[in-house]
Order: sequence, then C-alpha cells, then structure tokens
Amino acid sequence: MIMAEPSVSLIINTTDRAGPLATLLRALEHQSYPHFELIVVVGPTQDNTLEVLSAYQGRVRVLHCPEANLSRSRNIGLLAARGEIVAYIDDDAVPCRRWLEQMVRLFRDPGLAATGGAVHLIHPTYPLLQHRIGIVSSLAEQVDVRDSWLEHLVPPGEGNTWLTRMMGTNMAFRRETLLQAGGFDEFYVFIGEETDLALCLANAGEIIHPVLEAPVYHVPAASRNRMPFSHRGRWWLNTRSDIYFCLKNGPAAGDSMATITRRCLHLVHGHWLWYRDLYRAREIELGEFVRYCAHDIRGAASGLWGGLFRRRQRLAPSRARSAPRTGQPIVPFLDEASPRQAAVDPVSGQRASISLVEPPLRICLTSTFYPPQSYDGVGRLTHLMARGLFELGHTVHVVTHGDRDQVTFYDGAYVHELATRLDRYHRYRQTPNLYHALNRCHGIFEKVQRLILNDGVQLLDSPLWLFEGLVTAVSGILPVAVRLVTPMKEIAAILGDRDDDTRLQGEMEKALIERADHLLPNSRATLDMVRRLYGLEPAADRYTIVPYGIVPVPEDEVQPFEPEREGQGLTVLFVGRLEKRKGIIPLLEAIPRVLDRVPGTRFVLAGKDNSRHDGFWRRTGSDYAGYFAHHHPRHASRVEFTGSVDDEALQVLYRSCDLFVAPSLYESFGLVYLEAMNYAKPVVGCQAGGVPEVIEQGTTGLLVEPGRADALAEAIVSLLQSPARLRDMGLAGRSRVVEQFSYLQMARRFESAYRCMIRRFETGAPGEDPMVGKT
Amino acid sequence: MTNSPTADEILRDVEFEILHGALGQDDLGQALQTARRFHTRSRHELLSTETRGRDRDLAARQFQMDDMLLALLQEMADRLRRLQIELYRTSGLIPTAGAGDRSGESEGLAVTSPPPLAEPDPGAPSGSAQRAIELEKLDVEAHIRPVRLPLVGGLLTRLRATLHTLPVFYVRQLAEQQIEVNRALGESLAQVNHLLAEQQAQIEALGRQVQALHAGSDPAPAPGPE
Repeated sequence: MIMAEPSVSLIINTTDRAGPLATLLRALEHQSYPHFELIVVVGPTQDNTLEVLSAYQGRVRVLHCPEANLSRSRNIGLLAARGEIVAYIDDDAVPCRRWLEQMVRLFRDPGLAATGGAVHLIHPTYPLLQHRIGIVSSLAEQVDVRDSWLEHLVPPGEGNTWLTRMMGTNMAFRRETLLQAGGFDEFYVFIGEETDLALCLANAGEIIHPVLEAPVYHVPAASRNRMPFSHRGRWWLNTRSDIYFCLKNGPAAGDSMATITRRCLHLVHGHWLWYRDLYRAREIELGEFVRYCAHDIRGAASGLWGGLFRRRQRLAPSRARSAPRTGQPIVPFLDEASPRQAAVDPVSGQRASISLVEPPLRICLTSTFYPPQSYDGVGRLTHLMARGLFELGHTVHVVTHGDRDQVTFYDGAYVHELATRLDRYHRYRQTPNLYHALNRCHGIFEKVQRLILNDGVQLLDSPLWLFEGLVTAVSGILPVAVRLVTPMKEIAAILGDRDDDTRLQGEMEKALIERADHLLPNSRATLDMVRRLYGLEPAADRYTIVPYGIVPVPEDEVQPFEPEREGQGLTVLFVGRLEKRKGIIPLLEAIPRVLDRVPGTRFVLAGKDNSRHDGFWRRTGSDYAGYFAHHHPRHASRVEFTGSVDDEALQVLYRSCDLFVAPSLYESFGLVYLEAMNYAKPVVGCQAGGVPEVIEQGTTGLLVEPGRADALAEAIVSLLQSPARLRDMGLAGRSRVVEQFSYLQMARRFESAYRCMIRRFETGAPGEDPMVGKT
Repeated sequence: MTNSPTADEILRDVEFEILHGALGQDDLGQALQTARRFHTRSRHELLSTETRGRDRDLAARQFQMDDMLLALLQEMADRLRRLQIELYRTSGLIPTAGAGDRSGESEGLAVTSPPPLAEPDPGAPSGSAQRAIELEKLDVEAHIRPVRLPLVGGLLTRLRATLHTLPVFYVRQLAEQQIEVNRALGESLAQVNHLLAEQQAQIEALGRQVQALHAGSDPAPAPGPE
C-alpha cells in the first residue's frame, strides 16, 4: 500500500544529449511534488553530459550504462531506485509542473501497476498530440491518440488482443511490480521496450491505467538513432523490435503463425515502400534508399532470430532481489532554491538570468489571435506581455484560437491552440457572434481547468474583447484579471450597430467586468469610458492602469528625420484597418488638401480594407482605395494602399516613413503611435480615448479634433514644412518609448498587479500593490 | 428563440453549462458519447445495405436492444447527476470545479475529473460486464436442407452449402461488431454503477456528518468555500 506521500525515483536515460538534458534538469526544478529523487543513467556519451550533471552534485545520482541500449539503461536505473514509484522521462522532454503529483495521485490505488500521461510534440511548424490513452495489439499495431477509453475499441488490425500502452517518455510504475516482472527486455535496444512491458504486465493481470492528465512536452532531439524532424534514422531498429515483439507476444495472445508471418512481412515491406516514397520525394538519396532497405532485412533477421530462438533478456530474479528495499530514504532533487528558479524555455533551454525574490508566477493569458500565425492588436499586446513576463522569470500559457487542438512554444510562452467547437449555447444561434463567443469562452474555461490540473496556473488574464474570461470568472475557479480595451458598446456606437447580437455582447462585457477580480485598463480614458458606458464604478483597489509597451528597436535601426532631406518627397504612413473607427474617412479627405500644398508627398496606407463591414461599401459601392481613385484621380498615384502586411514589412514601413498619422475616432490606447515613435517618427493623432496619454501634444507629435479633415490636413502640412520639428519630435518620441513604454516595464506592472490579486484571492486580504489604482 | 434573451438568462445558461460540463466532460460522459457514435455508425452501415430477411431482422432486433440499453444508461447518468447535485447541496459546495478549493488544487477539481482509478481497465472488464459479454455469443450457423435427388443430389447439396457460406461469413462479421458494441455498453454500465456506488457512499457519509454536527453542542459551519 502506498503511504500518504510516496517517494518517487525519477529516471532519465541519456546519451550525447547534454543540451536537452540541461533543459530538462532546469524544468524539473519546478515540479510541484517534492518527494522524488533523480537518477540519471548515462550511456557511452561523447559530449559534456557529465559536466552538465556536475552542477547538480549531491542532488542527482549519476549511473553509467556501458552500451547504447535503452532497456538496459532503464534497468540499471530501476535496480538503483529507492522510491516506491519509478517514473521515466526522456531527456528531450519537459514535464508539466504537476506531472509527478498527478501520477502519484493515481498510485494511491493499490491495484494500479503502471500509468502514463499524454505527450505533446513541440514541433516548430506542425505540433501535434503524440500520445494519449494509447493501445497496442499483440502484433505491435498501435492507436496512440484516443479521446476516451472506448474510442477505437475495435481498431482495424490483425492482432488478437488489444491492451493499454504508455509512451516511454511519460510513464511510471510501481517499483515492486516492475522488479517482479523482470524490468525491461534488453533485446529492445531503442524502441518498443515500454510497449512490450505494458503487454506483459497486462497479461500477468496487472492494471495499467494511463490518464488524460500529466502531459509532457516532447521536443525531439538528435540522437545516434534518428535526426529530429527528418526522415533519416536507423529505422531498421524499429523493424527488429517489432518483429521480435510479434514473435514473443503474438503466440501468447493466440495469433496464428500465418498471421504473425504475414505481419512480419508487412513490416519489412511497409518500410521498403516508405523508403521508396522518400526517395521519390527526393528526401533521401539512392544510396540511402538501398542501404535502408538492406538494413531492414538485417533488422528483420535479427528480430526473427531473437523472437524464435532467444529467451527474453529480463532481469534475473537474483538481480531484482539485490535492488534496495522499499522504504529507504531518498535524496530529494529539489532544494531550497528550487521554488525561486525562473521558468525555462523547453526548446532552447534558456531562462531569465535574474534572481527572483518571490517564486515565479504561473499565468494564463488569452487572445483569439496570436503570433506567429495571425494576430491583431490584442494578439500583439498579449505576445509582448508573454515575452516580458517570461523574461521576468514567470511561466506563461497563452490560450488562443487554432484549426485544431495543439500545443507549441513560442517566444516565451506555451501556446495552446483550441479549435472552435459549437457544442453549447444553441439557444443563441440566432445571434451568431454571441453564440461563437460563448462557446469559445467555455472552451477556454475547460482548457484552464486542464492547465490548473497539470501546470498549476494561478490566474487568468483575459482581454475585454470577446469577453473570453467570462465563463472562468463565473465559475470562480481562478482569479480573473481583465485587460480593458475599447468596449464593444463604444465600437457599436461608432459603427452604428444596434442589433441584439452587439447589444448582448456588450452586456456580457459588462458581466465580465463585474465578475473580474481585477481590472487592467490600458489608459485613464479607457477606465473612464467603461465607467460611463456601463455605469460601473470599480473600487480603487480593483484596478491598475497599465500602459502598453513595445520592444525598443536597437539604436542603429532608429532613423530620425534628416534635415538635408528637406524639399525631397516625404512619406506619410497610416497603419490600421481601413474602417470608420480608425478615422480613414477624414484622412482620405485630408490627403488631397495636403498634396495640393506639399505636392511631392507620398502617402502609404497599410491595413486591411474593412469597408464591407463598417457600412462604407453599402453606402458608396466601392472600397476605400476605389473610392479615393474615383474621386481624386489626380492624386491617386501619390497614395499607395498596401493591404494587410506582415510584421517584417510593417517594421520596414515604420522605419522608412517621415511622419506617422492615425486619426482614429477612438483608441483605448494606441499602440501604433508607440511603434512609430520607436523609430523616432513624429506622430499625428486625435484628441480621443487614450491617445493623449501616449502622444505629448507639441513634444512628440500633434493632436487634432477627431473627425476634422481640415485640422488633420493642417497638422500634417505644418509638420511636413518644418524639418526641425520632424526631427525633434521624432527623437522626443523615441526617448519617451524607451523611458516609459518598453515591454519589460509593462510586464513589471502586470506582475505587480497579478501578485496583488493572487494574494487577495487566496487570503481575502486587501492587496499591497503600490501600483493599484494608479498608472 | 422568439424573445430576445437578457444578460441574466445568458449568465444562468453559463452557470448551467458549467455544471453540465462538470458532469459531462469526464471519462464516463466521453465513453457514453463514443458508444453512441459507434452505435449510430454501425446501424447506418449495416441497415442501409441490401441485407434481407433474417439477417436484417437479427440486426434490427439487436439495435433495438442497444437503444434500450443506451436509454437505461442515460437514465442512470441522469440519476448520477441528480445525486451529485444533491451532494453539492448537502455539503454546501457550489457545483463548479474547484469550488471547494479556490486555488484549483486537485481535491476541488476531482469533481470534473473523477479519480480515474474508479474506472475499469478496458482490457480487464468488470465481472458483471464480462458475464454480459459472455452471454452474447451471437453466431449464425448455416442450415442446409439436403437435396434428395438421385445422382446430382449430393452435388447440389454441396453447392448449396458453398453458396450459404458467403452470407454466413458476413453475418458473423456483423455479429462480431455487435458484440463489441455490447462490450462497450457493458463497460459504460459498469462505470456508471461504480460511480453511483461511490456517490451514494459519499452522500451517506456527509449525511452522517451533518447529523453529528446537529447533535453536537457546538455546531461547526458547513464545509464550503471561503
């Protein structure tokens, strides 16, 4: 029977993978379960693995395996283990924070012999769920990803028996049971040993129960057996293992010799066909093709020989008896410094090089769009927040929208993509935006539950836009912070939308604000607008004004205006969606007036045309570019409509312009002004929303009345005709960005607010954040 | 939807879905959904073909039995849900995941994800499910009526027997699939039974606790969130 807090021996088997091993060791510092020892079994390594391990002297037991045989290495670790539970993880994987805790929870059932969790493959372009509740047949056919126990209960295959299996990179066993079973069969050099063991345990009447929880993030690293993310590897080892597996397990399960023989032939033939396809696709050379095919025959012969004529190479009972007895004390891996270790990037292994006074936070952010796939203003801000918080040492999870459910790691954050599932709230189908948003909120809530179980996230930070944190806030499961941006009600008023769908979305925004534990407006103006629109008066300790920040570009990329360019054609840049709210109509009216007075000027308008959604197309029958060309043919050649541009092109546009203009009728903050100021460009905006908190009138740019084309034209002309002001204002703007609006400063403000709200949520005591209620 | 909904109605629906999700998103709920999908697909595949006579009757009858079993499962799942709600009410917990532990620790979230240890391993069905599976040995034998004609009678009988092997072959496949459906249903039933027993035990324990608290001279507050 397992005691209240059973000890765990965590075994890592490694050869020539010092880099990934260092990453894993750093990540293990964050495990929530403290009662585990770490055993690293090092194969015949050629790199600096031992040097990496020397940094953990006294906390890690280092053993040696004389050959590159994974099963043997696993058995060496098993024989040295002192814990009641033995867990295995690959050296190129990183576990979730509560990985061991979830595993140990299962082992409280005395009948359980083994378990394993999900494995997420962190791939730069095609991340996928590699394993969850997998099953395997007696002829080595596998179904690795199932949603529930009954999915693929009758999978297509030839094997008689299908049983549960785990993946070697995420599995745990009761140590006594594993020793009694003789450990891993050492015939399996590289692959198949865990599956074979699972089958043997199940056939012996032991219970194996993998779980949906306790995932690890697998970042495949190169080894002597395979190159990651390529088709090059010693695949004949798979053939060898599979044929051995069929011959050992097939007869025991009642598979006929004819079926087993056919399966073995299919294994070899299948590999040949795969090699042929790779050769045809020019992914391997002709020589490799021939060599791979020949090696497969060699592997098949070896597997055949082993399966037919050799006994299983398990631990002899005498060796198993020599293992330490249960209950011996372990040397825990975690020490007093572990709780204050900064979060680790599971791909590069990097982490913030700062000393944390308090333990790092575990934060969940949401954003419908997120880089690198697609992003809007909220996505861009969320990305910067995630990056800044990671650099301050915190673990960040971002929940975003995707084509399918998958996890990857991007620029400091675990990015969890969720596919849209319209499986709830059918009553609201007639208000489609609300219907989609509610379903998405619920998907986020379910994901947050998983993140609590597996990663122990402490809070959810949701933008007001699409009220993504609403269901979580209603559930009360976590403290929810809401980033206040332009409210839907304000946008609807500007666009003239008065339908039920928009109204109800506004109501949901209000409900989210009311239920949020803390509000994070980006400007005083946003807070005032929320007060005015929704009639809410948040208490001073319930909000913190956090102005947005950006990444300051290096000094050598800053291009202030050069006075010698006076008289040459200057470029005026607009960035934003071409829609009414962004002030595109007064801008298009102002452009001809500017060109009449400063003829050499060139205008660049970058952004997606939204004329079909803001009513412009309905009124005029054309988009904005067409409208301008039709009404101002004389000036059309001086105005370029670029459409949507990617981030790289956008930075080029910022760098190359001389003046930036964005006459939005309302902006809650105005990140675009900061981005232009970052390159020392003077800016022109409107006296609306939070823009005056970004642009210092007369110092870093000019502010005009919203919707006034004449005033806008006058401001642009006055700057274009004053090279000294162009330069001075640009440089002043750059200084303002560096001093007040960097993403790290923003992240520190968020961190301060988060710590305060977590304390308040956990203790009910008032927060002590000096920033609360202030900017 | 004839009348425009109000924000309060939407929020009530949100709360309902949280409660519903807490019960429907566990492994039992997923298993039931999977069984239903498999059942529907099998019915479609088997009955939409040109199967005739006795084979079709056999399949249709079996599907009717499955429908009854699914209805039974649904009823038991509903009863389980009612019991869980009763449990929440008795214990003073709000029926959301993590309600009893606002930091979201495993104890609170166990509501949404019942300890998986309660579930039988698919490779090792429980006793009752195993018996149910064993009782459902669906099989069809060919009944060949011998032809009594002289000389060619034997030949014709063998020919008839050969012709009969083809439908028997397919019907056996059908029967195998049906057995798997039944196996899935049996497993789900066993899970429901197990969870039901656990919930009843919890309710009884809490009832006893409440009685003890009432009987005591210094009543303690009911367990619940801060």
